[in-house]
Amino acid sequence: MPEPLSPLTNKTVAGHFGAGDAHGVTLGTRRVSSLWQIAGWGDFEAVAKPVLTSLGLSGLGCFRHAQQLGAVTVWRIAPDKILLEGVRDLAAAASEELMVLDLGHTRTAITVEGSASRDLLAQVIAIDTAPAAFGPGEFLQTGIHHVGVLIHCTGPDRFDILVPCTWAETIWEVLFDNALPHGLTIEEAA
Amino acid sequence: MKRLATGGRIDRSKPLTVSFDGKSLPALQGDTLSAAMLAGGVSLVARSFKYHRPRGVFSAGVEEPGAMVHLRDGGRHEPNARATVIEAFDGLVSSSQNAWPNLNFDVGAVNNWASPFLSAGFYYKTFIGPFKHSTKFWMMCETFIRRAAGMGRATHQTDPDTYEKRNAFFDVLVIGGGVAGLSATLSAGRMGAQVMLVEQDFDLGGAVLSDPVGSESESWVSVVRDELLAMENVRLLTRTTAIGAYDGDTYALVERVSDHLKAPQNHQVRQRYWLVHAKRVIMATGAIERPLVFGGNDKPGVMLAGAARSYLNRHAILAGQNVVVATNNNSAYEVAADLSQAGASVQLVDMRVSVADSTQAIARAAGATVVLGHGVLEAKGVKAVNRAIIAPVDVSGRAIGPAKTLKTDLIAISGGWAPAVHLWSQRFGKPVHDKASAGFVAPDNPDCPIQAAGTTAAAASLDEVLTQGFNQGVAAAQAAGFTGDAGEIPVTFDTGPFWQAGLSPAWATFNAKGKCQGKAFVDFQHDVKINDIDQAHLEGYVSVEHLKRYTTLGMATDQGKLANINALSRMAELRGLEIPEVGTTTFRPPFTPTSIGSIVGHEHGRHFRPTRLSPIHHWHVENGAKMTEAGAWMRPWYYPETGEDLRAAYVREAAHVRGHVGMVDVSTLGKIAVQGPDAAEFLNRMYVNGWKTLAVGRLRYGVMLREDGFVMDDGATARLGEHDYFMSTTTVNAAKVLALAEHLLQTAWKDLRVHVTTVTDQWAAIAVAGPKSRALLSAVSDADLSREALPSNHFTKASIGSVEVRIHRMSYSGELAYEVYTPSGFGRHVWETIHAAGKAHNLRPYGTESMGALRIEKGHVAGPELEGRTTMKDLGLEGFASSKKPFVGSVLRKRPVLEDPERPILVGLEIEGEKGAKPGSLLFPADGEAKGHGDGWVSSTTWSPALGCNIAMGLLKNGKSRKGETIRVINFVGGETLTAKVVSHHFFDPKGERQNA
Repeated sequence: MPEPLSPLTNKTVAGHFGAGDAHGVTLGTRRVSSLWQIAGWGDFEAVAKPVLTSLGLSGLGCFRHAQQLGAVTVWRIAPDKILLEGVRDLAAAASEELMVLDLGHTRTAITVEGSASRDLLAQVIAIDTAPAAFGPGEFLQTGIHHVGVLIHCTGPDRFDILVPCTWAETIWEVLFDNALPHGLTIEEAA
Repeated sequence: MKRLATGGRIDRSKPLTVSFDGKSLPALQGDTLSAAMLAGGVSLVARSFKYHRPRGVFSAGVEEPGAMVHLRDGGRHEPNARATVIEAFDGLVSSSQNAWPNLNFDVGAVNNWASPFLSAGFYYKTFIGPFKHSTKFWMMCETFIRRAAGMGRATHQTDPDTYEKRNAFFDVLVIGGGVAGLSATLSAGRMGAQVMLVEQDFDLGGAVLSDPVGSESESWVSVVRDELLAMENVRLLTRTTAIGAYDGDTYALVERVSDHLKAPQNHQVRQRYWLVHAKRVIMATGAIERPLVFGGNDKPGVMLAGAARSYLNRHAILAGQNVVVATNNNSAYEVAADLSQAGASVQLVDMRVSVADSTQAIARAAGATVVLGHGVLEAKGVKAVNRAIIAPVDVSGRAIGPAKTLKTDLIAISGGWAPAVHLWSQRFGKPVHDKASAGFVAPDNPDCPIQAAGTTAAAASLDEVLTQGFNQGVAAAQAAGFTGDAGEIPVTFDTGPFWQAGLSPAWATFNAKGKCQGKAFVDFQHDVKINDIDQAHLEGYVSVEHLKRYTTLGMATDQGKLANINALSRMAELRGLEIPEVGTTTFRPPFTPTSIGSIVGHEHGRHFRPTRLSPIHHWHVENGAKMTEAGAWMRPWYYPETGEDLRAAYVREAAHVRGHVGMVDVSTLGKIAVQGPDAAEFLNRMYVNGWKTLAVGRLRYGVMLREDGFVMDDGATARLGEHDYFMSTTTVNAAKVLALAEHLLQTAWKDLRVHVTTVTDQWAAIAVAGPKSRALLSAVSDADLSREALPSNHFTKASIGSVEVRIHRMSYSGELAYEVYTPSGFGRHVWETIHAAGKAHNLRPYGTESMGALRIEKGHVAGPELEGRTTMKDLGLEGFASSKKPFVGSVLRKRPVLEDPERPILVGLEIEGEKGAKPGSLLFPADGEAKGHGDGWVSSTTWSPALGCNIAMGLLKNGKSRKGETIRVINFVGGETLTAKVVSHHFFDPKGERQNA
């Protein structure tokens, strides 16, 4: 089995760009592996809980806080839909009450880090990015350049942006151009 | 005009290279362009809009109506820049505009002499009226009018700078960095609220910056600024103008990040457009001085009194040596005093007969002469003021005694002040009239999210400004949920008198006959004279909104800043009403002219809209494909071989598919996972055909309609499992179909247990078509693709290049064909694997152009036919519709208008001759007049390699009965008429023998 190709292979050229004396933003990529969606109806909690429990998680979580345990990250993206990253094949968990969908190739992650990372986000999304409003562990679903994305705050000034693979280059370019005034460092592809 | 040796908030150690019309100006750090002009003795700065009258520097702020110039050059060239707000910088190049051949001798000035014919509404009267029932005269004149219209000229060169947008969220937004705004920020900040203070100037202080250097006010500002800078919860933004107030407590600001530099440095943007979301706003935007109206009040050398004081105390420029200060209120007395102390000979001419001794003493003590009960009747001078005609006046401003002439080079005028309530008005409508200040203010409403403070609220003393600002800050913080201690109000300080006390209602000076002497302007920017308002009144314009539009008063950058109150005053007099009864207009955003660049931000060029790329995109580019846009996608259009153009390439590619085998990237097809126990029922409702019998492992073509009965989309859906379906849509309609499905499931069909999820990104898709496709895929995969094992409309799982894929047996080209679905991360690998294996089978990639040619030959409908105006019947698809179940659009498709037998229906057209038809061409019978919309139109067209002729698909009235008829195909745009034979749209292999092979 070959390695999946990152949609940003052509973009992640390491180097420093933009404002010469500044290092406000570092952009990088991270492969999103094993991404699954579980969805249900009615008593979604009852049917989803066994799946989550088997991963060591206690509940469905909420719409702003991601749950993380080891390599597993869980985002509750709708009342009856949950995204799970870093999990095993969940196909066996499917039932008439619980729909399971492999989305492992739908998204890639753009990582944003640095002292100006919140400023950069404020340039591309109309949501409060101040630390008090969007702290570590929290996530939000919004649009960058008209494309739906999920942004997960993974550290004080660090974010993962899950973007649809076919839109990845355009989002990358938007972030790149917006980051230039802050001084931009591109990391070697992960 | 001269620069003084001392004083001013300028840095004399930092001279700047600044020029105007090639003349070097003695600018210093801290100057504006207008200050540099005055320091350089430039009095004639521009020509006016309509009459091309000489205009000079009239103000010191955003209200400037006349001193508008061309700024910078090359791609950074900017027209209509107000010299009063342009910070001087080293290398600033400016030039005059709206003048030819030059500013001093401007041919357009002839308009001044023709002014009796150019009054309000002259366009309508002069150019449309002469010939009834015809616009020809207007059309002829329009060319010349358009050439003469406007002021500055924009550049066609590309703007080299970048702009950015930024969102921000604050508890309190304070607009205006004067005393009121600083006080408000202080109290709200002390209480712990997140506060943003924006100031359009590059320094904080507002009106205080026009006080003499070293005054009490300066140290007050300094102390407050230091305290604010130390607060982490307060953000101060200078060079930032609040231009708009919008619903949802959203405010637009433009920060001029690099406008004070010759060019942006170190990758910084030129301007930043802020969208600020604030719970409360304190509007401390100050007040704008009102002009007085008299003959020649627009000549260079007539200036707002406050501006004369600003140039003196901020820039150390004495704008005149023999100064007449003309006023109807107390605020001008301090101006007279400061100018007098600076060495000017000052005569203060006050329209009022009675002014408090203490007020008069301010001017007299400094050496100015005070003349009460007089007004300026007319300013004299050709290109600059050299005399003022003054006369005793009554309370209405009418001359009641003999006039006398004063020699002067500066007439500083003050007709009171108008609170700058524009932002409030943008959101909440018309402000209310405040009799005490003779201006319009925001009505008192503590629940309003925008609260005025200071002179914006017509505060009548500095003490009131300070207290009001501080208290508004407290109230705003409390409204945002903060209960901290705001501390003490900072100590106040002395300042000059405000305008309200004893303000005279007189706003213009008339001669004994009640007329202004000479041309007296109300709107300086659009050359609207008092006579124009009178004329509009005579012609029956009683609404202030109509008056505005008929006379163009208050338009352009003025937006009512200078013209509003005086125009309303005149209208009230003419109608015998009070000003509140006349009403006022509603201010609209933006408050000041705003660059298109800042509004656009990054969303131009490659970011004009998002671009979507297939997982195999880079292979196409690396292998020489010409790419084309398909919705948001970039798709391979064709793969030219040496010397081939589009036509040669697509004809070769299409023929190759028919003869051998080709592969095309169809990853762009919309793909939707439909999951749930009620998925089949959902599909039954979405599609016109039935789905309950579709077995796992099979797929089916479907058509879906809109609610109104027109065809919306088509595609194939595969049943992957008991509750799992894989729906494909056309590339263009993918989002529309998903949105409709989501909408219906969340509203009308909440009874269905179904989830729909886009999986377009999950799967890359490759169509392999041609007689050798089975042999190729059998060789490269482990699947049994024999006709028996995989008949049409079935799929199977397989492995290609060690990747698990799904192979669907279906054809879009009319050839034996398959679609290979692979996880998108492996898309390129699978494509390359098939491509490599294909060498033995003479495989060629093909693009969208040849894909289109193949589908037209086969007679499949696509985007050009599914364009929102066609029904199933029109397209020959009605056989798919089930009569046993309801589906979206099943009722409205039966509307009589959609059942009309005369509706154009899908036909094929064999075009005669070498030229192909253009899509959109109209269809007419072979004989008769070609008029109107004809009998139909061409939807898709191509050269058919299989048939060896040009063919097209089109919709033709009574098309079914016209097979064999020769018709005309007329392209009115290109002036081209072709003839065509009407045939079946199934041009190629109508029995489907090739695809079912």
